[in-house]
Amino acid sequence: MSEEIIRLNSIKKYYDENTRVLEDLNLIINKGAWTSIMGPSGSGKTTLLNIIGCLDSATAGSVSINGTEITKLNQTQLTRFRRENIGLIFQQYHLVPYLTALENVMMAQYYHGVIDEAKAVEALKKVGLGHRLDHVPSHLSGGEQQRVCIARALINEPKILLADEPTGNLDQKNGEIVLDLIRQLHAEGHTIILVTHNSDIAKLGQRIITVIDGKICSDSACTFEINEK
Amino acid sequence: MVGDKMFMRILGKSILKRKSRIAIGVISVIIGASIATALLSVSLDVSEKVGIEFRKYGANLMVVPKSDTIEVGFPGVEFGSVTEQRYINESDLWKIKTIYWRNNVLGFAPFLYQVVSVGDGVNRQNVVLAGTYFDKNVVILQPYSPNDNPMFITGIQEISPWWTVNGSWISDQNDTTSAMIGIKVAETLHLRIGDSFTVHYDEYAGDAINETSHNLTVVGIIETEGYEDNQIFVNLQVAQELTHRPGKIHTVQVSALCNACPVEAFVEEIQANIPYVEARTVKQLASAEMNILGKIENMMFLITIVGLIASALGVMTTMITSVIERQKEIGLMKSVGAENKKIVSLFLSEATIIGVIGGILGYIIGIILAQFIGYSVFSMSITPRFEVIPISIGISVGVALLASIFPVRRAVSVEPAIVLRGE
Ligand SMILES: Nc1ncnc2c1ncn2[C@@H]1O[C@H](COP(=O)(O)OP(=O)(O)OP(=O)(O)O)[C@@H](O)[C@H]1O
Ligand SMILES: [Mg+2]
Repeated sequence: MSEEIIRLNSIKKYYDENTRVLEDLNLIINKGAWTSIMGPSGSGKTTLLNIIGCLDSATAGSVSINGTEITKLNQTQLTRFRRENIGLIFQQYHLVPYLTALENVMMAQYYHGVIDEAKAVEALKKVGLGHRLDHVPSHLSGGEQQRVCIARALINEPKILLADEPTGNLDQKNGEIVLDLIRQLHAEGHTIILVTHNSDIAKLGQRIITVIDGKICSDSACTFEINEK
Repeated sequence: MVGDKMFMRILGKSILKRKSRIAIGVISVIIGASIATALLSVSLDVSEKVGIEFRKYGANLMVVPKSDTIEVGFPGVEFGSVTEQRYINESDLWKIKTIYWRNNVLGFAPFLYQVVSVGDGVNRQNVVLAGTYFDKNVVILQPYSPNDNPMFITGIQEISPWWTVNGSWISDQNDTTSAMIGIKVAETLHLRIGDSFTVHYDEYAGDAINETSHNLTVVGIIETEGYEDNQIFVNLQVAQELTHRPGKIHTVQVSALCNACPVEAFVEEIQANIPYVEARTVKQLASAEMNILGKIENMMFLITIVGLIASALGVMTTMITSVIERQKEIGLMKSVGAENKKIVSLFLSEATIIGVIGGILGYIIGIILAQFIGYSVFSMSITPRFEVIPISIGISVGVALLASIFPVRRAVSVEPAIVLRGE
């Protein structure tokens, strides 16, 4: 039995009385697992990812990551915790437009506290962009931008990688490259949570969770357990 | 430090990529900084030079002998009073230049007046003859401070520089034959420059009349549109000899420059130094000077405040727009671990740079503006002052930082969660 890294306990997220996005959600994710999250638009997938990623706080419930109860942390502590533990991959890449690929990666090092240019170059080489270090985002293709985003997510060696539709804006070929990278990171031991609308991509994970109306309505892990019985 | 280098890179590149946005902020700062620089330069310069401007309108202190009234008769029974004719001693004049505010005494001129007659027989006309100083070397017998110049050159030319003179001023202090005459005197007596005439002074000694005469040549004709137009001006000693009153004068006109100093102080000190005189401010002009200067300064201060408010609003708009435009970027920075203080310092550094650039350019434009104001309002040039540079930059940076408080708070409140949301 592998060790758990994320535990959500009866999480509620209400934006207001009429926008109850998450309702009593429970979820345990194990270290090194690749979990795919599916569900219709507006069901609360991104909201869930924000809470796991310490980008947003739950209205009620407890969130424990790597043994730390993050609902008890204040803003600054949360920021520090996030940069130590979480790597984020966005559908829109979110690169800083006026910085080069290398600088975008180094910026994450800077905010983390340790700048190591050689290591940043290494990370970009790893995603196959060793020849694009000094390009600004507008001079990179979507796939290349997403790979810079991945290099940036990795640079501070987080244990958990969160990806929200990482291939949503990419064509088949570039999507494959990105998914290959994620597969590689998973093989290296990262815990991966990937939100997707594509069931083929979802199947890359060992576990598929479907969220509908803020509740987990199906969980392949549970099915697996049920099947096992 | 490597971290600082990265910070400078982020800051520098973010500014270079948003030049037009930054330019709007800088222009906003320039508005306030140039007004502040211009008005400060004008104000500093004018308070020095305007005093001199005002002085053109004449002496602002009049020194006369104390008019003691001597009671005649028995106590309680008044028969009336006799005012003794009194003089000031010429030998006491230097004491006016030994008061604490002596450097603000720009000049003085003594006057001895006498009605004299000019011409012969039926054409005889009565005219006021005034003896005074023209460029006279006054020896300060006991200077206030050992550093003071023991010689003071003064006279009517110093206190009345606005007189229109045809011909020339009397330049030699020992000249006993030259006269400057008022334009009306010249008209009634048909005198022109170079003409000679004779003045007669009649002294009544009992029944006898002693007449003294003196020949004079017109060297200059004065036009002031004041009482001077009806007078004849000669060197003081000429008047004293003609009227047998050696060493005596009636009044002294003093021109005092008074911005920071109370005019009462002049009055009191002159009266203390020469106990038998009374000093009066002429038409309260001295205090009017201070009043007008004060009002001009208040007005400039208000305009500056308005200009700086405009700057602050401009910078605030620029910064808020910048924060809104860069929301995703701020969210991203936070999501990769930027603490609030890093976000704050990024935006405040940007504001500081806007302030410094705006302050420097504002100074340059302000100096040009100051020249314009100087010429059009005060008809004089304004000396650029380098000590205003740090003031301009300081004010600009201060305004830019102040105007950034609200935008920066907004930047800090950006939720990192927005980075995962759609556009
Ligand atoms: N800041 C917010 N304020 C109010 N409501 C919000 C906010 N963010 C999200 N919501 C609402 O919460 C619900 C869930 O949004 P969420 O982004 O989690 O959905 P999603 O499952 O990621 O959808 P998609 O597949 O389209 O990305 C939506 O109805 C959305 O309108
Ligand atoms: Mg979503």
